[in-house]
Amino acid sequence: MSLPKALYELEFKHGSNYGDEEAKAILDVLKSSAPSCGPKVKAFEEAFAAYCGCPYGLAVTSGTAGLHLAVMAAGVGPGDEVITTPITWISTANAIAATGASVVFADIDPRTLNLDPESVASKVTEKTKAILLVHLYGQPCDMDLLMAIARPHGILLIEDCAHAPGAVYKGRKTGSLGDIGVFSFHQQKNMTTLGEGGMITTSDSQLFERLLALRSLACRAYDPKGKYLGFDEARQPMGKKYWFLDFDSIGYNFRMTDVQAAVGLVQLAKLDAWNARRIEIAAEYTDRLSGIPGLRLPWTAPDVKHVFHIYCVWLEPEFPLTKEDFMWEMYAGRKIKVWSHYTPVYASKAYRSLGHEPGECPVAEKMFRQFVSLPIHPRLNPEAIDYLTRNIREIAHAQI
Amino acid sequence: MDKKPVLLIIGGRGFLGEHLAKEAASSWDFWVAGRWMDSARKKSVTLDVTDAQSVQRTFVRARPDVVVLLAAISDIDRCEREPDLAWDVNVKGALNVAEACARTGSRLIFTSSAAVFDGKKHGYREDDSPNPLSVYGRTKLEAEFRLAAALPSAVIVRSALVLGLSSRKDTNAVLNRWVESWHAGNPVPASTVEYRNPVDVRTLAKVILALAQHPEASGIYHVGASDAKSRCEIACQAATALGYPASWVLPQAASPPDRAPRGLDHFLVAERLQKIFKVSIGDTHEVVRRSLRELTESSLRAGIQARLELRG
Repeated sequence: MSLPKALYELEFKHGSNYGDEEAKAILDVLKSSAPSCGPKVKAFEEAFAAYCGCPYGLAVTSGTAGLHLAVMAAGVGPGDEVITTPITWISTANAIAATGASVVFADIDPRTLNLDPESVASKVTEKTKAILLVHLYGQPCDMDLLMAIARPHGILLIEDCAHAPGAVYKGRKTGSLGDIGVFSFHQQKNMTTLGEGGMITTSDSQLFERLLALRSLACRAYDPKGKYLGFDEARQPMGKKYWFLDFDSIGYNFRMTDVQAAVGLVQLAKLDAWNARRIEIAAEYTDRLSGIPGLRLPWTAPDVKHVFHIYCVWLEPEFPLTKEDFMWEMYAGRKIKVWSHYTPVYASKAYRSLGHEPGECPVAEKMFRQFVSLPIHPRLNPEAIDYLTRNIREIAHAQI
Repeated sequence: MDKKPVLLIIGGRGFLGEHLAKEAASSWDFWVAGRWMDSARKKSVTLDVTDAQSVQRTFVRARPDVVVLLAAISDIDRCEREPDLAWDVNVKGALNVAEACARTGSRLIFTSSAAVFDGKKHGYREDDSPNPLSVYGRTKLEAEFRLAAALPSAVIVRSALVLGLSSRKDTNAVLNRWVESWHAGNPVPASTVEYRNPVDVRTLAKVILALAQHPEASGIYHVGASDAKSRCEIACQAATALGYPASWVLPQAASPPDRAPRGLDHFLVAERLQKIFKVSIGDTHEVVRRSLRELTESSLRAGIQARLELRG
């Protein structure tokens, strides 16, 4: 079956993510041989960490890679449990499962779809090593309550900030709220580094050292250049062996390139303006879609800045169409590619084969039957917003 | 340093009791008594109000200056199903406490209800004729009569709907029930025809303590907002203020058949209280807003703590 061609979708149509600034930045790097993990990566790491309010940043190849490193750096392994949300991209849970630890799904708050702290608390056991939370759709989780659960038990908090660069919780940016923050610069995200990329942030020097090691094969060198760990020359003097390398453990190569980082630096400078535009579009959607019976619109918690990576609506029972019929009518009939973020992770074949089964998180399942994401990105123009909201009103048989 | 007066809260494990204890902490030396108290806790007494000796023993231990009697079967439908129990606790129990107060010279504050009225007119004053429709209302009215006879100085506080949150899940706090339901993604039914002028639990606790400290206060006092709204309107305001959709309140024009009869318009005029204490309770909107302030981190933290404790 061939797919309809959409006029409006979530991805990178309607103009490029990049402008002349990015093109110039790329050319500059090309002229300096475009190294992997060179000075641009270092500059990007420092700038991004400072933006988040953290002392340490570590650029990686993707958000997925960042999550794997974060979970490993937290010391998670077989026999441990990590609590996470079922409403997320599968990478979040995979990062846990790949270590051999058990993925424990906690239920969600029906208002924000973020982890419900009370459900998290009910899942804590003596095996719980970390909570891997997701600031879903760009809205920060209730961090005070998650902290209140984690801190007394020595449980690490890892923030999956893939949707939420620049989002703020009680005056502090995501990525600085827990022990480790992980960002994604995939092409659909609020900022991007040539289609893929990621960043890890932390304020803990020991965690940073572990992350740094794992990103580059746990390699030690006498000239580490910010890429590797250095040797302790007091214990292991270099002598003439400037070329000598050693490897502390089994690590990975998840290093970002300088070309990506150069683009990342430019995109970071644009991030606040783009987030502001997303917030503006969200307000416009809310204004135009209010009052449609059965159509629930997003709610933003007090004390947070929601950066609307995704604008989600809920089709409640009084809405005239089911989620499936509405989505298909929008896509095939109106050429607007709406989406569903996300199917509960444990419903996938991969997680059912690990022993998970439907019914683990009833609120998540109930919300999944209702939520639909509308296209949102900074390049959506007034015509697009008008076309989209008008069509939804028409479908709902509401008055324009 | 002056010794603080001793306050005995009977029925202290309910949600009003919990808030009253919190409010009383700074200026009262208080004891909490109830059927299932944690006896290991200091100044916490297990007491069965239907047992006069148990009441007497508690008075001997606590030696209260003021007693606030909250203990009651306040589930209106349960009272209808179990009228004997309702009578024992709500009437005989109240009388046991009043008699103990009379013997020890303690003042008594008793919480009663708008259910003593039939709700057929708009606006009830303290001296309006009661006409209860339910077993619960009849027990409260009977208790009021007997208390006034046994202890003329007794203070009776009537309210139509108390809004607030309890840190415990097994109380009759309606907001807890609503929030739990919404939290699970479920709607709640609420009447569009039953009108109430609510009071938030903290204000009610403050009013009770103010009456306790006022030596000349006696008789009946109504407490409630300056206007009445339907339960449905109140629930909708609470839902939207907390970020849940108003559609999660299901309007009910008729009462389910298994429900005890309730008056339609329970608007208690609170002028007497306001004249004496110059307190402004505000309108229903303000009362709902105040009651939701309780749903802050502290009550959520308490919920989380309970979950963690359950996990051991």
